[in-house]
Amino acid sequence: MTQALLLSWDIRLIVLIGLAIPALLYLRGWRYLRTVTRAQRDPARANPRAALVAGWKPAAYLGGLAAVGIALMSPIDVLGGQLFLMHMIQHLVLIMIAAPLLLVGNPFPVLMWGLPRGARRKVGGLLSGPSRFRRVVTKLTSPGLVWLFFFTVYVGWHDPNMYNLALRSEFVHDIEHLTFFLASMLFWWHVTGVAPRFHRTLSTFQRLAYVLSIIPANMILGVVIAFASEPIYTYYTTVPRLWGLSVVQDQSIAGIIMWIPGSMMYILIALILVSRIVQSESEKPPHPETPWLVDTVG
Amino acid sequence: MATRLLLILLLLALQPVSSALAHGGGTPQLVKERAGAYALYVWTNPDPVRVGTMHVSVALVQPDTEAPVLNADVRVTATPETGNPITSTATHENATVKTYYETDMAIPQEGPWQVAVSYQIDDAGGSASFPVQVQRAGMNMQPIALGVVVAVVGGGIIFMGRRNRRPAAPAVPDQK
Repeated sequence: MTQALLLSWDIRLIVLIGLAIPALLYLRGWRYLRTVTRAQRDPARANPRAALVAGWKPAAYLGGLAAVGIALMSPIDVLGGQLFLMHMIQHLVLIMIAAPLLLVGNPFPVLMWGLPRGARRKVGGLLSGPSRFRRVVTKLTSPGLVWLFFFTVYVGWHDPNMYNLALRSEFVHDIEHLTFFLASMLFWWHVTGVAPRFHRTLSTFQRLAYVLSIIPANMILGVVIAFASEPIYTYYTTVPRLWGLSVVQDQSIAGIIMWIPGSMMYILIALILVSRIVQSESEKPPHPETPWLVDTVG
Repeated sequence: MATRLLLILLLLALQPVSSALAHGGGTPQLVKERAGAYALYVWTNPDPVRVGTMHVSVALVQPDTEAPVLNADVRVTATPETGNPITSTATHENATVKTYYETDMAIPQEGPWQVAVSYQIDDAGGSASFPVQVQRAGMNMQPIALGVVVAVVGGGIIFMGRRNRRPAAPAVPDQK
């Protein structure tokens, strides 16, 4: 049975092409930038493009795309229709692994250089200067609105009616995943502070607060699901049970996954931000000693 | 050339949206229905079933442990109130969830249908059935809705992307 389940891949052309296009554009842009950077190498001057073409960035970006592919086509996706815990893992991979990995690859400038010249000019025109598009996008993606959007999507799709509907209809299921992914990309965009920068960059303290503020919702939702004594998502009562897990046991494990590993990811990012704050504090020049202190000590 | 290639890839990516049917899921029709020595789960898709393609997913399980039974021959027979029945073999090869048996059936007419699922393993077998009300072929609204969204978003982007063409106001000379 396990072998049959591991062979259950849902290879979908729309997902494959949706992943192949950005992968090809990114590699094209990265190769171009690397060539230009090498040609302009001047040991006397720091080249701002050098950071863009660091070798780990394409690895992170392609890793993020691979995570999306695994979440949407592997047995994790297929078994999500039978096990709530698999569906929870799928959502966490999309939100907590794929989106941050894609963003640390700093995709925007690299993808821009991967676009054909005409398309690059058009996209550049849309996003720069006084275009209405930029003004509207800037307003719609303000940190506050993005936080609210992420919270609404995250909590809203866990409503039993919405969740059951998504499990019954592949179309609604795709919309669920699309909104999860979009909301998490926007959320992590503000946390990572990568391009395009339409807004004032959040300070490290603000980013820390931004990340920490989503943890209570995640934990409360996880705890409610983990300790529910009745099936919340009734669709799972209409499918065969795997590995002897009852619907409530499956639900409890899913809730625990959301509660503990789900929250751990936010806490991990928060710790990285705290370490940055500590590092920046330690790099500050020391305050000059005050004369009265020197006198006292002396 | 690269732009054309991108457009072709995008069109290819949109094509399957119009024909996607849920694999390994859909509307539950039979839930742990005892049939012979085993139990059957059956789902149909789309919801409601319309004239055209009906996707049927079948899970054959042990009644006590719900462990899947993988070596059966599974047949699905759809019978209209008036007319000839249609039979199709559901297989693991057609299934996304490899523990299920799945098949697509071409339903030619609307009205009440009876769908029977039967299995055979060696000499043992069993069957169970359920009614389905087939509705007339409707327009698939999903690609249309997707097209409208793409048109609205694309139009909005083009409209908003136009820079303000009004000439900039002349600079006010410094009065001081």
